[in-house]
Amino acid sequence: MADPGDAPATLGELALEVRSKNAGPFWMTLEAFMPDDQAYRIADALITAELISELYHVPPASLQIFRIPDLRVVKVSFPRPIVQGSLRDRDMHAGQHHVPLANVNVSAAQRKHHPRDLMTATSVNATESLARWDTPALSNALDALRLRPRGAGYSDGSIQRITGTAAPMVGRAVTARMAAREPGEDGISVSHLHKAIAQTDGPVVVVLEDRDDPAGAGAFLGEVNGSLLAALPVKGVITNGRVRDVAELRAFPYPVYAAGLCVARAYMRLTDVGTDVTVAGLTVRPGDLLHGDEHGVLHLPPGALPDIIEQAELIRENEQKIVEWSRSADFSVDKLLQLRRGELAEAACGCRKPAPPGHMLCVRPSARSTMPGGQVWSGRLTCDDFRLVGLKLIFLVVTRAVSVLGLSRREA
Amino acid sequence: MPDQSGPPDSVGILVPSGMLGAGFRPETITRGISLGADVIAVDGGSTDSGPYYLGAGVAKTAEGAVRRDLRLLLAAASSARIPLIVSSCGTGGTDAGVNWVADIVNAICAADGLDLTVAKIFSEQRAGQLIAELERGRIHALPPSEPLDAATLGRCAHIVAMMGHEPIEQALRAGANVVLAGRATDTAVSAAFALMRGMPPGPTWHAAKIIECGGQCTTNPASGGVFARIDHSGFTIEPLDPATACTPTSVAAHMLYETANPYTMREPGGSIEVAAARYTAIDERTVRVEGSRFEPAGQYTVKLEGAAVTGYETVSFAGIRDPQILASIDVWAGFLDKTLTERVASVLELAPGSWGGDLRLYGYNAILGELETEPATPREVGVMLLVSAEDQQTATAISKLANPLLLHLPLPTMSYLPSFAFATSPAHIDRGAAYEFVLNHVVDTDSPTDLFRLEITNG
Repeated sequence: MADPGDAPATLGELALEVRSKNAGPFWMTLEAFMPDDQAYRIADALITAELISELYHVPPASLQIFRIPDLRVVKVSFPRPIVQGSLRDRDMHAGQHHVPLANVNVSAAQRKHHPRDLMTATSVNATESLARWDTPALSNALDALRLRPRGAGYSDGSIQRITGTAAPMVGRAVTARMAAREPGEDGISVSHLHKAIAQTDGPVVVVLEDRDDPAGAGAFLGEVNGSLLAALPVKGVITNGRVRDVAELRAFPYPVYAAGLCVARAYMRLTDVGTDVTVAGLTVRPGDLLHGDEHGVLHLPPGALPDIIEQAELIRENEQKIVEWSRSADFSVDKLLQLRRGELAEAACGCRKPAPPGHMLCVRPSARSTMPGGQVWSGRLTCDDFRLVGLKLIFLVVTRAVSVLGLSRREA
Repeated sequence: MPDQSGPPDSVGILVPSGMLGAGFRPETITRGISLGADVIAVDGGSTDSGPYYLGAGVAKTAEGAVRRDLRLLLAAASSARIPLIVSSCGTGGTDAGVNWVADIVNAICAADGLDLTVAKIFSEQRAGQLIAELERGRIHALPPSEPLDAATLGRCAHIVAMMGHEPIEQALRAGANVVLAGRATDTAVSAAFALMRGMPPGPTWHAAKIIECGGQCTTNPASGGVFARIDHSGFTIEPLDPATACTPTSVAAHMLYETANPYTMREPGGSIEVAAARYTAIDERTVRVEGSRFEPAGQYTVKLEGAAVTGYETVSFAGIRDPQILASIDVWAGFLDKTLTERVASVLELAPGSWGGDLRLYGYNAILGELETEPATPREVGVMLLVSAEDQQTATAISKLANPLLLHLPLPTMSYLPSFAFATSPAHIDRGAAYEFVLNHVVDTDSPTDLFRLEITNG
């Protein structure tokens, strides 16, 4: 999300070229060509056996790493995990396998040489600006920007903030799943979670899906695991399960969202780290941006920044005008009762079409009208949310009719 | 072309392009000849495009493109009275590949009235003979492969051995003007003539490695040919396109290209060691390289390549644009996988392990699969289903069972059947036999020419 002209965010942006290729049918080789000595030092520090092992799912012992300062190149070779040309080989020349390496965040490498919590200017700004808002304001702004369906993208009422202060939580999701009710052989070491947290750039929100039905038979988060997370840049923990040792949890520097408290650990083990998870009706992918406060947790879709902040300010400005009018000498009960739906909003934001009080969201003309995936969420941008509802109704009727018609033309 | 006197001061090598049939401008050749080329060398093949070409014994390049390149090269070699060497003929370097290129050469010579002696060097190996070598303990695995077994050799559709420079030198000494070699190391084609003329092995092998991909070692890899002059203390290299340059960086960086280790490269008779090489700019487009070494090995080893049929494949393709499906594309793909497996088991009575399917979601995560770091909700997805089975009939039958699923499979939560976008009718294409490289082994030989067969005809 760096603006043009900002410091390069990824190795690919910093490098002259990051490339990959077969080295014969059984080996793959990656190279990062860096433009100057400083960039080479960053690449040199960044590209470790651990990093390549993590990115390419290959054992560190199988790697050959060549550091060539004269050419400002770091080269890594390893046996192809999938033999060239076999059924599951999707990259015959291994020509696109540089991308995971090219996408590695450079600031992660710089951080190795700096204090743990040093972050890039971009992420500091984004985090700070989001932390000035509460979830309802940001949720309204997301609705106005049409960046998500209105009924999704936030935690439902099944979890609450068990501990935490008034300050909003902001961070990137690191995901994990657990089970506790019955014993099982599917447990993995908690170090996978710690590694995933350490490798995520900036503040982290741990999202833990309890797979038991019903969830909450045993707690992952208690004094011990909580203390370990407190030693990492964790800004919050969210689970559909339950937690314990609440007195200790209160002392940790992050809020905890859970279904409630419980007594036991039971057969608790982590079963996955880094998968998509669903917690309290909210589906989260690793790296998703999350925001939370006492109301709950809000998912900020890709592309929400930076428009969401501007939109939230616009909404607050509009609301403030109405509040001011209600307190001004111009206010009278007659005027309030005479007011047609939406005229307040018109007065406040200058839009032509009236909108009902409470729905006075004015969308900036530059705001996106499509979902990140390209899904069109509304036909046009307008102040009138009722028009939007109408369009959606028409859309639903039409799509339903099409699907019914489709039944008669089905081939199978 | 045997050497009559002592070694010359230097040998000039013209490499017109990285691969025969890739094309080059006629000026490339005129320029190279005017620089005093003593030999024209060009690689005709590679494993890089996959096992099919070796397995099927078919060339990757179009016959017309190979003929066009050869006509220019044969005319230039003939009029300059210098040899033309082509290695790894027909992409895989099979006997069929050598004969295919030889037929083209003979037709050109006949049509253009060229009187040239053409040598063919065959490098294809019989499994039976190699099994005998295996039993004598003379075949060894290269990392990361396991030791070889006889069954694997028996499964190969074609096996080739990668020759060093010696069989090519043998053909040149026997008077060949044109050498058409089967599978050879990428470097042997350029090194053979210079070594025969007494150039030192260190600079010769290093130069041969640098020029093997043509313009790849220049500032403009698309520009085509390069010219190297090897002498007794090193070599100089320049592009044949006057608008392009070789720089110390572009030349040194080529040691990285398609190599696992940029400092040392194994040839049949030893290793090229370039860690101590120095790269100096002579002018703005010519580079001098000194300090490269060649370390002879205790045992001469020849690398084997083999491709075996892994099954018969059918590929199906459908497009999805529906945002509702795309929002849960992983769920959909899992559902398709499961449904297809069940249908194949119940309808065709095939157990899940007896056939293979690879469902690829192009536009979502097809290329990197589980290595994908940033899967986002896609705008559209091309669904490719690749099915592999023991025979074509079964692969086709499985794909036909998959057809209605690729057309209509809903999400498990949907109450109606969607219809997706087939790109073609039918939506599937039979691919025929599919191959896999199964050999990554070397065989010890007593003589560098033992495994190769030379045939010379006067054109």
